[in-house]
Order: sequence, then structure tokens, then C-alpha cells
Amino acid sequence: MTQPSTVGQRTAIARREGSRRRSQLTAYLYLLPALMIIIGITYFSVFYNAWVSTLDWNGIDPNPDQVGGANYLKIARDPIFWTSVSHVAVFGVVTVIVQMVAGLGLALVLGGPIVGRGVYKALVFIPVVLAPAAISTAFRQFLRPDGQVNDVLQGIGLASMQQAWIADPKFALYALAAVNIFQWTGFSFMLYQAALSQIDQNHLEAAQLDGAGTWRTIRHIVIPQLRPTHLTLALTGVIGSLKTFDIVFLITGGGPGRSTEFLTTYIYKQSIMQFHVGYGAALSVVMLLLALILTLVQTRIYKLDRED
Amino acid sequence: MFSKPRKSRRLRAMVSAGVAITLALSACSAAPAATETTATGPTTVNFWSWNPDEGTSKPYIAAFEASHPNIKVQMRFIQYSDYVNTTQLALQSGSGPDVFGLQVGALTNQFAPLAEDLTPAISKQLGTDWKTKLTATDQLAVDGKQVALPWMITGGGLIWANQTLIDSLKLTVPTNSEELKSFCAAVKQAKKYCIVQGAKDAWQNIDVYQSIMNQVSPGTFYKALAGQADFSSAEFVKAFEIWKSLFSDGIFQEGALGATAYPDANDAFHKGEAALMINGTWQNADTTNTRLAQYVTSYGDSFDKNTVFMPYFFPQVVTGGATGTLFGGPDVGFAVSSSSKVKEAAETFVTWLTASEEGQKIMAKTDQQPALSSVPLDLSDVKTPAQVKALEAQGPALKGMIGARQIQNADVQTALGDALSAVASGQQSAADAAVSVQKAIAAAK
Amino acid sequence: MFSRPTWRSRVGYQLLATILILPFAVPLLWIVTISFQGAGPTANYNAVFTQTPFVRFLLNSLLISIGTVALVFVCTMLAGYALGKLKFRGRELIFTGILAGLMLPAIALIVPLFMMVRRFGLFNNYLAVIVPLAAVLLPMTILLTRNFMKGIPDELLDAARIDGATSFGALTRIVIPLSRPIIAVVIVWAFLNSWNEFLLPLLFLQDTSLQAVTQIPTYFTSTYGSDVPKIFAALVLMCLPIVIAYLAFQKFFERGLTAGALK
Repeated sequence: MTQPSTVGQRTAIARREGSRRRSQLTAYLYLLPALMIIIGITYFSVFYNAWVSTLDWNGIDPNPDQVGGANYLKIARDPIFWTSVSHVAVFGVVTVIVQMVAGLGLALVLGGPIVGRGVYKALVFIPVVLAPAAISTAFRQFLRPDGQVNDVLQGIGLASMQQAWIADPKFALYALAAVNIFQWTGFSFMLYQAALSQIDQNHLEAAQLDGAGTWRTIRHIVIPQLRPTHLTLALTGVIGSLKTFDIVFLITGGGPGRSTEFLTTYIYKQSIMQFHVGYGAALSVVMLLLALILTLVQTRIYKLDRED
Repeated sequence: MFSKPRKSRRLRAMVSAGVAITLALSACSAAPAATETTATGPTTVNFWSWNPDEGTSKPYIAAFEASHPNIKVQMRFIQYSDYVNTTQLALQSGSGPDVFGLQVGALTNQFAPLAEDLTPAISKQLGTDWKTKLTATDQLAVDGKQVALPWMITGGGLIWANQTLIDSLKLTVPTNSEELKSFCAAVKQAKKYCIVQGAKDAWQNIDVYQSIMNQVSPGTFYKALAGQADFSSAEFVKAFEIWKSLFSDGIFQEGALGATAYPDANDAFHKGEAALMINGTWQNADTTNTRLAQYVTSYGDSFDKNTVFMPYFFPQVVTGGATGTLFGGPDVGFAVSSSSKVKEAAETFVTWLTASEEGQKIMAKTDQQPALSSVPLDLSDVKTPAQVKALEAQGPALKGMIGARQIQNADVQTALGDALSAVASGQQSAADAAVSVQKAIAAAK
Repeated sequence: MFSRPTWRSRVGYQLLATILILPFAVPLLWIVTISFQGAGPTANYNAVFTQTPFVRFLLNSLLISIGTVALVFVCTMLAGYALGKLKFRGRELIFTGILAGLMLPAIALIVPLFMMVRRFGLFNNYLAVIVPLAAVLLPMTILLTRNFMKGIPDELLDAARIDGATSFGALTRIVIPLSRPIIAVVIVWAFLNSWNEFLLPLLFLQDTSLQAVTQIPTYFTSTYGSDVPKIFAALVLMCLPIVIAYLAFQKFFERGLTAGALK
């Protein structure tokens, strides 16, 4: 039958068309609540920021000046902007790598014959659920020259390594990285643990039968099979570093000098404390573009990897 | 094959309930935070500030409400680090505060459009010559509009000493840099901080810099800010170098750059962990028994309620430098929101706080200079006669302050704060720092 | 680790695990220890209850969190189902568009949000906190849920359709019950983020009776000084509910992450 000829057949086709359109509509209806919120808040904010970024505005004045792209030119020539980006980059690399290694290490070790596994798992994940404001307040105390961290260093005989952690521009950024690692390693651990439990036991037993030691099994079988998790953590870790605000703002405030200034803290200071809302909005737009570029670059790299 | 329908129905019911509860709550909580009209009962005035705090504000509010039975004051204390943020947004909303605190300088300038001109209200209270009766009102005026009224006048340029601690170490408070160095060596041997500085907070660093600069070249700092002198010139560089030496000579405590002025450095000083702290006349209440009692509550029984805190003028850190000058102006001013629905009551409260004998007398008890010049300091609660003498010595210096403590332009203030921090941490040379501030001043024109 | 463990390897693993866990456990211990200093544990913790509106703020935070969780749950289930199981034009585009929201930092939202809150008169309204929070959380929760639902065999849904169920019926009767693991993840994640939120309640809930529990530590910092042990006591009490909630849901949470949330 190549041509629908009967009324019945035409009705059937019309009904199928109708039902496809209806199911399209239904699908959109399902998406409506989420889209309303996301478009209404997230997308609107992005466009609003883009608009404000063309103004020289203090957030209060009812008649701001239009300056077009001047704010963006200022950003390109702004040394503080570039230092902030470099800080985020260093912070991102350090935290992502250490969190992944530590998370995987813990997942592997806690996968072994451990007594009280639940306690260990809880302890490593509790920092993830603590409020960043709480962690920042706590670590501001711990990182004082007379604080707990230095006390511990003294106690284990490493007194020479004591520093004024957050007061020294050489170490402040790394101190912040350490706080971030404290909070988020549990997240990497959780994902790795989940992925590890998916690994086919037969694979591992086969390797053992072939005489491979524990370490070699891990390196050549386990780690490659965890690739999706590696990539997920790398992607979320990089974006997360870009978005980090609380711990930087509350612990060092971007200082000493500007040695721990992040894009987020710079935006906050420009918009709120120095009343340059237009410039702050332009910085937000640039940050968003950076995030987009980083995400695209990473997905491109990872897709290529997978195709090999 | 089908899961128990009861469970999914329960789930759906829970979800719908949750959403319904939320919506209902939002409807309820949308009730306005402000007030009823005077016709139906007492008017409520919402008062936000970082200074006073809840405890300090109680005597003022109690006295005000006693003499104004149809006005109630609802105070909300917000720490300064969150204050600018929160208040800025709230004032534009129509349900923000009616009365709010303002700091001289950038804050006053920026918030000017959001505040009511207080000239009519204050003229009613004090008469047309009100400007002579209140001190330093122009620091809170923008383009002829009286944005806020000063609550008290304070001066920076002091150094506070824990006299009890210093006496127990058999030392005397240093008056010049030589004495300071040997003093600090002795204090540190006793495992105490010499001068505890909250170098994380730009304002305290700027205060120190001004103190130094006013000795190197009195008044030039303020000229440079006004564009009448060059900030990159040798005098300013010298001041930066002296500033740096406070860190490299170990005068300030290790890790100062990570400590905030309030609460870190302040707590350390008051708890007896440091001998000296650079601060201003706003700490004068430390000489009163009332404040000492408050410290016992905050810090616990380990706090010695007989501690004598003594103000001194900033030590001479430049050979031949002039000491004894103070710089400052209104510490906090109070403004009325132009979108307030209870302006009259709000203005009554502000003028009572800042320009009434009753209100200012309460201020006088804390031994900070009341804005109303007819009210003298109330030295009755001060602990020792020596402290009384020291406070009285502040009087002439406060009357003849060498310049305004707060920088008008937020960008210049940030540039100076950054420069001081960078020099202190060795990231920038004194010369480069001075240049960077001059650049900011030029750009701000 | 992959063969039968010996005595030595047991001890080795236990020791290694303990050493590795120390950097995480010790700071937690410090927080509790500091909260016991100063005036002593009873005085400090008591102060949190008596000197601050702790219980009221706790309830406020609970309301905010429940509201956020409810909103996120409804939106996520519907959207995740559509994106994971239904076929329609523009599906991948919309999905990417939603994912893009993951990149937005909260800081960029403040000024636009404020304008919106002012326009709609939502000051002192919990919605001003709940809806933005949901907007920030939805990309992640939808991503997880969509991936999970993709893993649900289509045959189950086809069978339901043949039996006359509507797509909504299939959602509520089949998909949601099967999605319990990921629902646990979504709920814990949404609750966690809304409970710990500091900035939004500070800015938009200005009536003191409506504020969130994250504001409690500020009560122990006055204009000039602060009481560190009491602040820490407040921190402990503030974090306790979420820690307890997590521990209660821990098993479900892990199961949810394991059950293919990683695709």
C-alpha cells in the first residue's frame, strides 16, 4: 500500500499526527515549570547583566551613563582581572587534581577490609554538607599563626613549616586550596566509590589470576575504567573553582594585597563595595564566557578521547 | 508490574502539600515589616546600623521611647562587612530601614540619593544656626543636602595601651621609634604581642598611614587626596617605608595581614594578649567601668575587670615629626530613608539621637565626643584619674583635627588599602605603591 | 585488595584508612573542641538557645529548605522525565540550554535578582529565596535525574502505554517509584544547599523574624568584639540538622549515585 486511499487510513494518519503534536505539547508542558524558573532567573540575569555591563552605574543612580563596550576594554587592561584569573587557574588545577587523587585513594582503601567503614565514609563526607560559612569561620581560626594547624605542625616535629598561612602572599592561595580540598574531597570519594562498585569483579579476578599485583591492577584496569568519573570530576571541578566565592571572601577577603583575589570576589568588591555595578556586570559576563569556553574545550577534548 | 499506586499517590500528595505550604507561607510572610499609622497605635521605626550594636543601643532606645511614648524603635544590628550590601539593596525596596547608619566618605556619597534631606528637621530642632551647634556636619552633606547627622565625633591617631599589662612587665609606653623597638623586644620576650594590628582591614592600615604621614608632613595627605599635592612624591614614599618597617621590625604581630581589626586584633588586645593597639577615640569607653563590665560578659571571668586601658598619642616615628594630632570627624551619622513611610517619626528619632541634650548625654557617658557641642564628656564613670586626664587631653586635639579620616572616593580608598597591604607583604615597593595611589586619585577626578 | 585479605593487609588497610581520614576528622574535632572552650560547653550551647532566636531561625530555615526541595522535586521529576523518556523536537537543545545554567555563579545573580524582587514586591517573602535557589539547583538535579531515567527500560513504559496509561500516569506509577535512589540524591542535594544558604536570606529576608539559621553566628559578634567559642557552638548547632539528615539518608544517597548517575 503506497497511497492511503480509504477514509479510515487517512483518519488513522491524522490521528497519529495529532497525537504526535499532542505529545510534543505534553513534553513542553512537562518542561514548563523548570524552564520558567531557569529562563526567568538564570537567563534573565545573564541578559540583564549584559545590559548593565554597558553602563557606568553605581546601582543607585536612576540615570546611569551609557558607555557601550568601555567596561570590557577596561577589563582587558586591568591587571587585577588578569591576576584573579591566574589565581583561579592555579587554585583550580591544584584542587581538582588533589581532590581526585585523594578521593580515589580513599575510595580504593575504604573498599578494602576495613572495620567501621561507615564511620570513615561519614567523616569524609560530612565536610561536604557543612555550610561554607561555617567552614570558613572555623578555618580562619585554625590557620592563625597561633592556631591549630601550626600547633599540629609543631607537634609532629615540623615546626619549621609553620607559617602565617593566610597572612603570607606566598601561601595564602594554597591555604585556601587546602580548605577547598577539605570540603570537597568527600564528593570525589562518593563518585569514585559508586563507580568502583560498578566495575566488573570478573575483570579484577582475571587480572589477579594472571599474577598482577594490586597496584598494577589498579593502574591498568581500575583507573581506565573510571574514566567517566574522572571527566565528570574534572569538568565540575574546573567550573566549581571559577564559582568559588565564600571561602575566599570569608577567609582572606582576596588578600593580602590582591594575592588571593578571585574573579568572584573581584566582582563582589567592584559591584557592592566600590559601587561600580556596570563594571562588575561586565566582569560577570566575561566570567560566564570563560566558563563556557572551558566547558566546550573540555567536552571537546574528552569526546576526542572517547573516540580513540 | 505496576508499583503500588498507594505509594505514588502518597508521594504526589506530599509534594502537593509541600508546594501548597510554601505558597501559603509566602503569602503570610509577605506582610510588610514596617508600621501602622499613628492613628491606630504606636509608630515603629526600623533602625539599622553596624554601630551601635544591640547591647549598646539599648539605653538610647529605652530613653527615647520613654520620652516619646507613641514611637517604638526596632533595631537591627548588621556587621559592617554585610552592612553595605544589605542596606544598599534594602533601601531601594521600600521595605528597608527608616533610619540607617552612614559612614563619612564613599558611603555617604553613594547613598545620598536614598536619604532624606535632614536640613528642615534639624533646623526645627536647633534653629537656623544649627551648623554651629553640631560639629563637622559638612562631612555628612552632599551638594548642600544634609544626608545624615553626626552622632559623635571621633579622631584617629591614638595608640591604646593595656596599662595594667605594661605596668606588670615593668615597662613604660614608648614615645618614639627607638623606645618602640626596645619596648617590643621586651614585650615579645614576655610572649605577648607588641602592637596588635588587624592588617586585613584596610581602614586600620589607612589610619596608621595617616598617623605616620601627619608626622612626616602635617596635612599633606589631605591635600593630595584633594589633588593639590602629589601622592607619589618622596614624603609619601617615606611614609610607606616607615609603614613597612612596622612589619619587618616585628612591631606588628606575625600574621597581622590575616587578622581583622574587629574582632581579631581588638579581642586580642582586650583580652590582654597585646600591649598596644592603634585605634582612635571611639574606643574611649574602654576607660569606663560599664564597658569593662561588658567585657567580663563577652570574654568570661578570665577578663580582669580592673584593667586600665590608656590612650596615648601616636609615638613619634619620624625624627622631628609633630605628634599629638588627631584626624577624623563623625564616626557614624544617621540618615532617614527617602522611601520611609514614617519619615516624621524617623526624623524625630535621628534628631533626638544626634542633637538633643538627652540623647547626646547618653553618648557623653561613653566618653566619645558628642556631636552636639554643648554637651561635655561625662567622665563620671571613668576608672582612674590618670585616664580622666588623658581623655581631657584629647579635647583640644579633637577641636583642631588636621583632616577628615575617611577618604571620599571608594576607588582611592581601595587603592590605598591595596598599596598598604602589598607593601606590608613585600609584593610592592614603597615607590610603586605611592605611584599607584596617585594614579587612582588622578583617575577619580 | 582483590584477593582474600591477610592479617597483615587488614592492619595495613585500617592504618592507611585512619591516616587518610585524619585531615578530615581532625578539623571537625577542633570545631567541637573550640565550642567547648571559654565559658564551657553548657554555657556556650545554652547561650545559642537563650541569646539568639535560634529555634525560630531553625524553623525558618526548615521552611525555606522544604519549600526549595518541594519546588526542585516537582520541576526536576517533570523535566527529567521529559528529557529522559519522551521524544520531541528540540530535546537536546533544551537540555543543553538547561545545563548551561550550571556555569552561572551566584554572585552574578545578585543585582538582577534584586531588581526582580523589588519589581514583584517579594521582600520578606520566602519565595525570594526559594525560587533563585531552585534556579541554581535545577541544572544539576535535572542532569542527574535525566541520566537516571534514561536508564529505566523503555519496555516498562511501553507496556504501561498499551495498558492505557497516560504519560503522566506512567511517570507517577512507574518512573517515580523506580527513581527512589536518584530522588534521594536530589532531595539531599537540594536540602543541603538551601539549608546552608547565607547570602540570599541575608539580602531578601529583612524582617528579623524571618531570617535563616545561617545568621545565628553573627549574634555573637558585636560592633567591637566576638565570642569565638559561642560562635563555634552556634556553628555546630547550625550544621547538626544537615549532618543528621545526611546520615539518615546516607544509604539511599549512595545507592542513587551508584545507580548510573554517572553516565
